[in-house]
Amino acid sequence: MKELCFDEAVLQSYFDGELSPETMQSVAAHINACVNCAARAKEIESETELMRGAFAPEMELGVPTESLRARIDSAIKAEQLSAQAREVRKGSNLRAWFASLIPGLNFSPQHVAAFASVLVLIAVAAVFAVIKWQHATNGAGSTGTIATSATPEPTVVTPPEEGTQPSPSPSIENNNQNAPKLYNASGRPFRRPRIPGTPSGNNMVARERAPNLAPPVQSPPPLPDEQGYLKAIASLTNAIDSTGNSTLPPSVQAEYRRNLELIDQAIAATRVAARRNPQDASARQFLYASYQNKVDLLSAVADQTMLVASR
Amino acid sequence: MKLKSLITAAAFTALSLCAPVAQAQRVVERTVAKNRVTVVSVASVTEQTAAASENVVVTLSNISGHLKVHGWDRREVHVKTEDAKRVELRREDSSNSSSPATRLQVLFARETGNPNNIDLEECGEESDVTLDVPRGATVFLKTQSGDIEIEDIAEAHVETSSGDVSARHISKAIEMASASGDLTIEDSAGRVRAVSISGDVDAVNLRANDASDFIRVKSVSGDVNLNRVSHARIDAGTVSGELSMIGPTVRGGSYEFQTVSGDVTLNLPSDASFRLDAQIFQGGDVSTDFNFSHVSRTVGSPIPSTHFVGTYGTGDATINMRTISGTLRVRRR
Amino acid sequence: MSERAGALLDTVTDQVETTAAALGFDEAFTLHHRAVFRTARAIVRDSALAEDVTQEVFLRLYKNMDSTPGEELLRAWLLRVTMNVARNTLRGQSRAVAREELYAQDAERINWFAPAPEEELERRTEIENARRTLDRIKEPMRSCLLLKQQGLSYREIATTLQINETNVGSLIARGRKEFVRLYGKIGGNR
Repeated sequence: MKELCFDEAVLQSYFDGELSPETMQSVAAHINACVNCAARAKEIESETELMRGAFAPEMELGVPTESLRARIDSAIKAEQLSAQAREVRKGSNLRAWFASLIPGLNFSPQHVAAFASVLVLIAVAAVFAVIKWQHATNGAGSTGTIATSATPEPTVVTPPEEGTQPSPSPSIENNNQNAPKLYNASGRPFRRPRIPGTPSGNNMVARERAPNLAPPVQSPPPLPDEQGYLKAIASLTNAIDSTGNSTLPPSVQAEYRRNLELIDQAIAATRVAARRNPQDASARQFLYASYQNKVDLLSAVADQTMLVASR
Repeated sequence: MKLKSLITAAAFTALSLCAPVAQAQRVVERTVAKNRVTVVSVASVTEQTAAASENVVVTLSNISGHLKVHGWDRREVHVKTEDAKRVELRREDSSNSSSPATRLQVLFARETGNPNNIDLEECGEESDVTLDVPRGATVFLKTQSGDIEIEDIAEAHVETSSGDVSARHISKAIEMASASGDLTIEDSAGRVRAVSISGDVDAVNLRANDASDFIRVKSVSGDVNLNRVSHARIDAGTVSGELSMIGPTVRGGSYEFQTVSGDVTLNLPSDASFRLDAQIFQGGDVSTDFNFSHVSRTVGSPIPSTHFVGTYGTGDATINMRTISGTLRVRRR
Repeated sequence: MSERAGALLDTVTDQVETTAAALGFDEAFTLHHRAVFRTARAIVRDSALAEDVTQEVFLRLYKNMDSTPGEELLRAWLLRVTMNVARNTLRGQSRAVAREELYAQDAERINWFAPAPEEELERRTEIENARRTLDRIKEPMRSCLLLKQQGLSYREIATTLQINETNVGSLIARGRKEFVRLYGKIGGNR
């Protein structure tokens, strides 16, 4: 085996596009110049191609998208129903009162939690004002305890689920983002009161000990023109699914799925970049171009399914 | 004795040849119960002819054999199938039956056993079909799997699933869509729109009739090739196939090339004059043979996107290339 | 202050909740369900089981929308859960089910498109060859290759498998070499 001028892993990273731009360029330049490395690079290329070919048949096997979507939808509905059933069984009057205030609620536990958080925030804001006033007169030492102990406890409890943070409603997460951040005196942000596992009184303490508080999920608002694309994509996908893309020949289905995946990945990647660099117009252009690609692909497939279906 | 049998044989042969000819001469008037349309036709088993205007519109659907469409100088539409099935040309216009037709539909009859009960449907035919139309005609074609050849007509709209489509000497406009067939348009003029899912698209030697004519060629996973296309507006794209263009750029032309993962290669003459704006989202590279007068190349971060802008000559034409991860090459011939 | 409360109350209406929730979860499904399904199938070797695994994974996502990472690392999170659930599913099956039997069941179920028999046989054989080769590669290289096939970046692979990102390149390189070495020896010549 010929000697490599650098680690095999670096060459692999180069091929996978995982090096920084400067390193990519210097590796590329080196491969052009160095006979051994050029030969090894060719080897890697052909081996990668071999592997891709070996896995290609499996990748071409279809994914039962519609079936999965249906199953997951009904599983979620079942989950919602049982969560509501659990709540009803707990039989809290306060909860019933909350629920009766706003008819037509779907996720009662979460809505109630939201109301609770409203109350909490009002109370916390009041406390904050008190603290500030006290801080002005007393000094920093006592404010920590006042801040931590003055928070009223939410009266809503949902049972623990797999030891992870419960309450699956992302809209409440939006509350977190839309509401201004609150900080206690020591500078750490208040979290919206999560429902702790046990209905004990000392929720604040329990929260602080809660392990693995992962960062909240980002659901930032869509960029200006995204909604238009998303609607078009949704309606085209609907049209394709309803006429049944199983009427298309298998090779076309395979191409459709393969390329759809490619485009979806591009959308995901460009969306990240566009959101990270909101001032960068070209990042957004890439995102919109990717959306347009998806719309074009779905249109072509929709036309074909209708062509087949019209026979 | 021998002579007699010879004559008998000859007579027999002549008679059997006459029969289809006689049929061809018969004129039949028949009311089709299903559609309540009076079909006046030369009730040939395999072919039909109808007088038509120069700009007649002809539709034909749902055959799975090969289809050839030719333009000719007669003011007639003529259709012929290779199999012995009935074919009809039904008038779709409302003018009286003595004037030439302006809209015609090609229908294939499937005999359901009872000769008095013929279903006229547009349904699937395995036979090969030839269609001759006036040169100014417009055709609407929908087929399943056969290949389609179109020549010397004004306008064509084609939808097919797996057949290849090959069009030549189209004078006004052509629109082609296929799932897995290859699409080729050559030596033609006017608007072009060709979309395939997995087939290749080739556009060769095309010109615009006026400044509003555009060419839009897209494939999802097939390759897209342009060669000597002199339209001022070109829009070419593929998701995972390869894009290539050979040929001069047009003054004031606007060229858009887009891929997701496929590479784009342009081969331009050394006297070309254009402004290139090439963007790669991630990975990929831009490589050019031309020495641009004004160049700016920015590499974004943290995602290594590349944006290359360069002007060559007087920058008459605008070339926009955008890809997510492909490589862009601009070569000089 | 009352503005904040008001703002919160507004956001608690059904519409915003449904839209935001639907957009977030639906997006996640659209973008990632294929990778989840394929990874599950690569581990459990059975499409019906893979559907079960996928359903469970997205149910967990739904329950934990608040504590899952956003955007870039969501897929890595999903695949980590997928691999766990898939492996548990395998263990849950009777231990008497030998690998060979799994292959046999697997071969029966690869019939999405019902193509011509010869094509199908060839396709099944190719898929089995690739899977058997992968089986003979040790962890964590095997998982690295699997995830790389699904198109993950090194960072995602590192997050999914909870390994150091700097190791991913060499693991893939070694895995690739192993794969190529073993591949020709299983099944027909390629």
